[in-house]
Amino acid sequence: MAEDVKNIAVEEKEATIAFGAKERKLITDPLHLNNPLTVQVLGICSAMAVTSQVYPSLIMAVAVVFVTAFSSLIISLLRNSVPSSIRMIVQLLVIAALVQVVSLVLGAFAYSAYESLAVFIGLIITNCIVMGRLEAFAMANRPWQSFLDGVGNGLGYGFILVAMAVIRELFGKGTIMGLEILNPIFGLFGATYTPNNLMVLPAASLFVIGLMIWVQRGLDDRLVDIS
Amino acid sequence: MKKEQNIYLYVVQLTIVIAAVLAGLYNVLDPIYKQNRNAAKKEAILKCVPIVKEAQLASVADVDATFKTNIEAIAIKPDGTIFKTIEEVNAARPSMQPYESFSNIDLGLEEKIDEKDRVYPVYIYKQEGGNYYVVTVRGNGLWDKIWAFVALEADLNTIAGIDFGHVGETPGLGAEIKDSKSFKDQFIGLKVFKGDNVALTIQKKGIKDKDHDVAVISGATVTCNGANDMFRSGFNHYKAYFSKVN
Repeated sequence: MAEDVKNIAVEEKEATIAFGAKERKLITDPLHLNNPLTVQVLGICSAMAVTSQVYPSLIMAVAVVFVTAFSSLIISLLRNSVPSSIRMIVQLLVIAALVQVVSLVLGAFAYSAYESLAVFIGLIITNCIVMGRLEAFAMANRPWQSFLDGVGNGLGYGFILVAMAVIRELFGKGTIMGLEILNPIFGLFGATYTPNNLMVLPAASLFVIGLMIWVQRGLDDRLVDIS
Repeated sequence: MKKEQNIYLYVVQLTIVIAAVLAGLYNVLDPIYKQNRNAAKKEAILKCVPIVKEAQLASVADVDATFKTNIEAIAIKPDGTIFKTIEEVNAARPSMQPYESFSNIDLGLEEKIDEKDRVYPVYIYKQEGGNYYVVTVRGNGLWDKIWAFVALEADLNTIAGIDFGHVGETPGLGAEIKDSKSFKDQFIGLKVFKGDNVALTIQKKGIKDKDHDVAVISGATVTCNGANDMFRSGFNHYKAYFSKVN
């Protein structure tokens, strides 16, 4: 309830500056204090699936930023005309269309990423973050603010996704973006790195994200009370 | 009643707008996607041939050009019948969806029809002093389909190169059949057949037969067993054709 009040307040206030303090906060908040993955713990499913390598995670992050940003923008533009009884259907329609756009564009211009992500592109539709932001924010705010909120949440998700992928690929394969990292370092001491296969299994993403949540909350007292 | 009509109208309008946008995009982007997919397949085929250099596969256009100038594709039936053009294949099977070219032959579709009616593509890399023959085998991995393009030397027995593909094997484990260069390198120089039987095997318990055995990927036993079954059935489809050529 408290959040609803806050959201309405944002709308009532005349927004004259495109990047005022409030707008900046829309972008920075989801990166840390209100991170969809580590604080709200939404969208874990895709985070588990695609983070075994950095490159697909990067593409996934970009795709999710695009979908959250533009679905928020479109839904915010439509918000006064959408009949409230079918608003979720309309939201899904918009999300599904945008995901299809992403899928088509990747297939045409980033074929290798498209291949390695395969079904996970389509599954952006089911990513809780996207619809969550539409319901919680875009339905009650101006288009520009909603767009920024979408970008912010997409970035917050993508940032954690890539961080997880770096950890998992580094220890699971000894590489980052396919570049040998650990073997040359170990080589300095006359040893070779044996990849830890556990890290590339989906289970490892749960350990990694668990550790990340722990570290993040340990470092910032403000997060302890939120949950 | 009035309100309900408005809702229907709204949904219909929105759907039409979105469908129009998507249809437009699809028309523009899908041909590029199909080109990419075709090029990826051609690249996988060419990659198996050891004398093809990286530079010849630099871009989609390069792949197409290399494929066009060097590869002569044919299709065969398990009984040894040879089809020189794709039109012959289509004419022989009027009930099947016609193929555009040999590289469009979809083994997934072929698997659905009777074994004696199936066609299998053979890509012949023409070269003086012995052609390379690239054949396709397909089977089941742990989660989904796996396949491999195998380049054979002119004796139709010695492996010159191999490239695996898969739909959804576990990254780092089963997917290593595609990702691990050292695994694929083991195949080079091995023989497929021993006498009349397919002997090429991924061995779990150490290499016994130096000419036919490959060491297993640890943690990928099911995928490797699937690959063994794939070799058995896959190469058998080509046996009649091979004995015709030799």
